Amino acid sequence: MPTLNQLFFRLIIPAIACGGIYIAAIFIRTRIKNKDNLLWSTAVAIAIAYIIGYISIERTITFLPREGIHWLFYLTLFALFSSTYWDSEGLRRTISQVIYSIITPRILLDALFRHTWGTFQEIIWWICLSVGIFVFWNIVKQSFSESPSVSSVPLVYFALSGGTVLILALTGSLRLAQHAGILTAILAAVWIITLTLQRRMQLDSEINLLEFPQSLSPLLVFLFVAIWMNGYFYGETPFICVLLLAISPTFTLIGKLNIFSGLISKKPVLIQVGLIVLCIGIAVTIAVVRSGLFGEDTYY
Amino acid sequence: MIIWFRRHWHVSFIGLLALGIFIISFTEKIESHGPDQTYNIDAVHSSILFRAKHMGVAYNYGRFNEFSGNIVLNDTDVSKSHVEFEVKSASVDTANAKRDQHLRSSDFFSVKQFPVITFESTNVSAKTEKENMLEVTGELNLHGVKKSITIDVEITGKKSIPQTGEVIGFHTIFDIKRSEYGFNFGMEGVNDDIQLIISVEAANK
Repeated sequence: MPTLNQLFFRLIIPAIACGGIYIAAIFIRTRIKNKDNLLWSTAVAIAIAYIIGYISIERTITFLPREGIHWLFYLTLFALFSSTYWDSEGLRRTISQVIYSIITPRILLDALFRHTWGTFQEIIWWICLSVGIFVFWNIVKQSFSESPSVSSVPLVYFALSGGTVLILALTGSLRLAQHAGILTAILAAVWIITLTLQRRMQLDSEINLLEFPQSLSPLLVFLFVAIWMNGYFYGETPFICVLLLAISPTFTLIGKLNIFSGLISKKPVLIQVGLIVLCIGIAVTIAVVRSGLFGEDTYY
Repeated sequence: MIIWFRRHWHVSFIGLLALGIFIISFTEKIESHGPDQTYNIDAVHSSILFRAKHMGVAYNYGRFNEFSGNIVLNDTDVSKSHVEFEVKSASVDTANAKRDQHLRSSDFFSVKQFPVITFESTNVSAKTEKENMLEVTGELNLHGVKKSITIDVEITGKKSIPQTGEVIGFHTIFDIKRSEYGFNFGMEGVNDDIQLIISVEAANK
């Protein structure tokens, strides 16, 4: 069990760091003429906070990465670099997304590519995972723009990372659960700040500053994908749980379907977030059942 | 005849000396198959145990059930001896299924990423101050981290058994710091110092 001291350094400090940078960036953006100039500041706030949490868990930065978990640090740096151009250039962004989708499974699952899988298995897994990451990335990007309220986006990803923490902890990957825990604490801070500022801001132009920019998508995609893939391929996380977590942000796009548009227009935030939480809840329930949490042989 | 021997005593002396050398060398060849003896580790009669302190209170013991290796022992020049060892990390066994599952995860051994633990000697020398003691230096590759370690190894016995051939026993106890091998998880629950107890029986077939 983590001590209070560890919880402070692994969760509270990253959340405070993220909150501080996030508020400062919004404050600066309200005062500059071209408000799109610092869109990447949200990614910077979350990335710096995550790196603080990463170092407090891993105690060191391993060069070159030896384990799949070590890539979380390097992927955060890649995402940070990508965020600087992600909001502006269309073609560069698409090419980067394709390249990252292809490279990510190869580097994260290097041990399986080298020691475990045969050529056929390698090709199948590589193609499936690359396509899966690319699709998930598009869902994440869409969810930023399709959400009915600016505060519902951080809430969705807070719920997603919270569900990830529970599933990983239940399936015996406590170290990964701590990494997801950092992300949960950070997104909780962002959600609370967004909710508070949204109520105080009067103008739409000001409220728009609270939107999750596209430049945040590489960071969220890398962190979620890396944590889930480590959990499934190197841990005991059930595939169905990972799948349910990965598809849950799709429900932010449900308003696009005509049959749901009438329903969504009445209580959009409640319905969309409710469906996502339901999906995550099912995944957590499956993890609870499979973990044997209520069995006899749980303590050691 | 006696007179002939008295006259040619030096011829008979040389002949006896040659006969003696032939007999001695022949007997030596029967006793040993050459200076390098290769022994294969008999996993059934060997144990790899580890000891870790839980919560700073009590020692918990675990073992690895699957391992293999061979030892090349040179009796005349110990420095030419060589040891190779391979342990399947997924075979970790602490007599609790839940704990074993956790130990196999990426919190500890991460067995899917690091399926084997290996040791290969780089130098073997005899300890002068103690009989039947060897000092073995080698590369321990654990959890993807390769480190050079030096351990004292006792030769606990050597015997010829008709069914198995010549068997030899080794025993060593040494400590490692798990943090040096990238095992940083759960330091508050399981101490950094891990003791390894290795007892090996190897047969020369």
